[in-house]
Amino acid sequence: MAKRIWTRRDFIAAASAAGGFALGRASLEWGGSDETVRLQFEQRLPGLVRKVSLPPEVGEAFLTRNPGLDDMEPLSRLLQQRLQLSGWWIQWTGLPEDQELLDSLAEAVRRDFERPQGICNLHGWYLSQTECHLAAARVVAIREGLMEDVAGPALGYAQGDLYPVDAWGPQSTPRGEAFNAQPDGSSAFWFHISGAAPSLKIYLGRLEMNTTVRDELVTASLPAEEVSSILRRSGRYKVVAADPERELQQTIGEFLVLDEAPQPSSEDASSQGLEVDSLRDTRLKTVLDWGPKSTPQGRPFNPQPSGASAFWIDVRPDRTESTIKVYLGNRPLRTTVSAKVITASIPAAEAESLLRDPGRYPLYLVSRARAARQKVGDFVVEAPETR
Amino acid sequence: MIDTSQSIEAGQSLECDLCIVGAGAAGISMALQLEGSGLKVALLEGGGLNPPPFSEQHPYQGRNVGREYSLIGTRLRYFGGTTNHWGGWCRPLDPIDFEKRSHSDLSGWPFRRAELEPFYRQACLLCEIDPPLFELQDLGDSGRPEGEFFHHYDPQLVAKNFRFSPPTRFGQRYRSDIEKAADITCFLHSTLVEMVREGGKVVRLRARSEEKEFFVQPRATVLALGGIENARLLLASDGQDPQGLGNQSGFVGRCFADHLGRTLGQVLTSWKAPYVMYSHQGVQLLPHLSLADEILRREGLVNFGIAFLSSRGQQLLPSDYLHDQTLFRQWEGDPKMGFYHMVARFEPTPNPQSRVTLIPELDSYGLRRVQLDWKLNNREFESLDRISEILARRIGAAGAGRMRRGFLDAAGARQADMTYQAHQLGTTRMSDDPKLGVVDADCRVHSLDNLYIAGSSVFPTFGFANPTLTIVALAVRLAQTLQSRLGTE
Repeated sequence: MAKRIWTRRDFIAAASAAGGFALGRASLEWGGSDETVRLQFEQRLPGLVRKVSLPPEVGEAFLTRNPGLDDMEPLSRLLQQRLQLSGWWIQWTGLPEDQELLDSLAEAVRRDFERPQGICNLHGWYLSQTECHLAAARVVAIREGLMEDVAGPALGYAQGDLYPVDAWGPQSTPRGEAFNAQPDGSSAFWFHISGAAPSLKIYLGRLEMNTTVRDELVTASLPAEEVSSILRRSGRYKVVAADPERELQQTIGEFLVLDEAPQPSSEDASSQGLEVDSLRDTRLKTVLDWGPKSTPQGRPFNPQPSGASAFWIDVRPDRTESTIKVYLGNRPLRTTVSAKVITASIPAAEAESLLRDPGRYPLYLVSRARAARQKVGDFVVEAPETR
Repeated sequence: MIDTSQSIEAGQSLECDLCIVGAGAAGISMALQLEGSGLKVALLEGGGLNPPPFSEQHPYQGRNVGREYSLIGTRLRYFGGTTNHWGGWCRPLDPIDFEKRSHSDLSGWPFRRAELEPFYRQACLLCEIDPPLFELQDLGDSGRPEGEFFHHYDPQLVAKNFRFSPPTRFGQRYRSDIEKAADITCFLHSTLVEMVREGGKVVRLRARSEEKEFFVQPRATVLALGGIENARLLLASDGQDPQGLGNQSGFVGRCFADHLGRTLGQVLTSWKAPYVMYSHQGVQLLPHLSLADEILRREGLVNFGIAFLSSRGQQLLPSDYLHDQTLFRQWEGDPKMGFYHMVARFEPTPNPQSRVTLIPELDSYGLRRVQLDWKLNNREFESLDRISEILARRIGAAGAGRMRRGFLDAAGARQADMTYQAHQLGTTRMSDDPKLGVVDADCRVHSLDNLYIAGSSVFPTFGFANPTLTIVALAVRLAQTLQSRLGTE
């Protein structure tokens, strides 16, 4: 039997069941405001919407109709109200675990259909307000880089191994830049696939591409207007092969629309600070702690399940902007900003070149909007002799 | 026997116990029931054994001044009547269809559904529905479709089944029975043009066959001509009664209605949604989605049923939308989902301003032609709007799917294309109160002792089910009434 980990909520519930104690005092010591709860909830929201699969079309349609909600703050506020995450009890006990929140969200979706004001009408489709808010939060979270977009086509086919894919490309493109452009304005992928059936279809995200099978070379193209839509914002798109005759689909990989043009790798850490160096220094956040602060040469640090290496920066919750990015030198990192913690990751492929050379690398918080930076500290790649 | 009427001489007067006018589902069913009863029955049919060629001079030609309606295309003037183009859809009216309800001041029958139960069973035999069962719970589990009915998620989302007759073409199927019948004579090409009253009885019928005119003197007469012609003959028989025979209430020709069809919207649900045609123990079934009676009563809604028709998706929702078991955990169906159009057939409400009247123009038999002014009440559109709202919410709350509404208010429903189903209803409505109807609960014209009406023109409230089964059940019941009454006299 797995060991049960007691949370603060469990202790409080157990204490209350045992006859209670000085609740008022505990509240004074542990409690916060509803706004603190909201900030905590906003921080948790990307993690919650990551666990539900709502299509971007719903979120985008909702945000088009409700442009004032195009931000995590109002969406988290609405969902907080819907889940009744306010008042002294929740301030005292803190937010429930994810599973409990998801249970409450599922119940809220169901109950929305019974509430006069619970319906969200999108193109005639009767959806619950809660599911629309969640779908919108998912779109915003992807847009703000708080989670990745890895939606595939909605075919309803079973997952299976269709064909071995020996190679394919291109696998990434900078945002706004057409990839493998064709004379007709379309952009095309190529795949080396053995034994592909003529009925094979390749999908980019949810889009079916114009697929041609010639012996072992499969090409798949998207018209210019579809490409420009995809390139509008950064994200990950699942590349999927599907055979309608066999009703099977197979994930080939992910196509990346990169947030920025790829930075040239540099062997000299000091030369990477040029762009960020031009920004004025100011305090963007109150940094409480951060890490890791060093790593041995060539070795990933704080490795994530994806293979990426990640920094964490504990900050004091405030109402300042959530569009801050973390830079290592002048290299922008994939950044997630939440109320109390900022995380920034380096993909495994990039970490290898970055950690090749020992040195001190300045870690910054950067606000493009304010043309400002805040140095967090120096990250040290240790030379072998210093170990 | 079947007589082409060539044997009748001009001016001849036929005597019989009962004259049934019209050899469609009602007329043939009555005649078959009365064979062997000892009553001598004359069955008049205006057409022959085959469909007549189309002509602008067709007796059914008339003027249409209301909603679009085909006066000719919806009717067939030959032996077997409209069963000759019937699709075979069968379902009894629901018990709620017989109730007085808030959706119309004129709603309700003079008796309950239970009164018709034994006659529905006989009607099923005549329509070749075997066994005479309709509801899922009566049919048992075997052969059920694989998909989950919505009442699995929400008991208020009920299923109402249609079953299908082969379809029985009454003219072909029962021709030999009529030919062999000793007490029945069917006169083809014999058109009733007038009924003559003396006191409280119809004493003589004037009929025409080609150029010849002849007479029938029955002890009792049944009009079984269909929803428009029944009213036409009463209105045309104005020799003694300027407003028409049996029209003291003024309701003859009023409350004309037809069942309405409309795509209500679209639904995303299991690709094996069971509201489509399937076979159960060799019998074709088509379950329709509807709402429980208590909701229909409480909300004052018309009765309705919705079948699903597979469709492509309409933007926005992908077909795997409800796969997420975190958020939509109520979904228990097949993970593969599909989009369906929701094809609704629904009940019209009686509208006295919707009516059949006569115009001066005469047809080739000298009968005044009809003018149809078909109107709907606003209640139908309000109901559709509300039904759509309730279904969208309940399907969502139940986790059975998501619904896209085809219109968002009653005005939207009114503007939409509406189909009709060639079921002429209500023009000689049944009521216990002579001021509110044309016939009584026995289908007898209120002011006359020996004139009866068969067919859907007597329906005071219409339900959403196709009327043939109820027409046949009422005809069998009327035959039993007349056998008893004429046999005693």
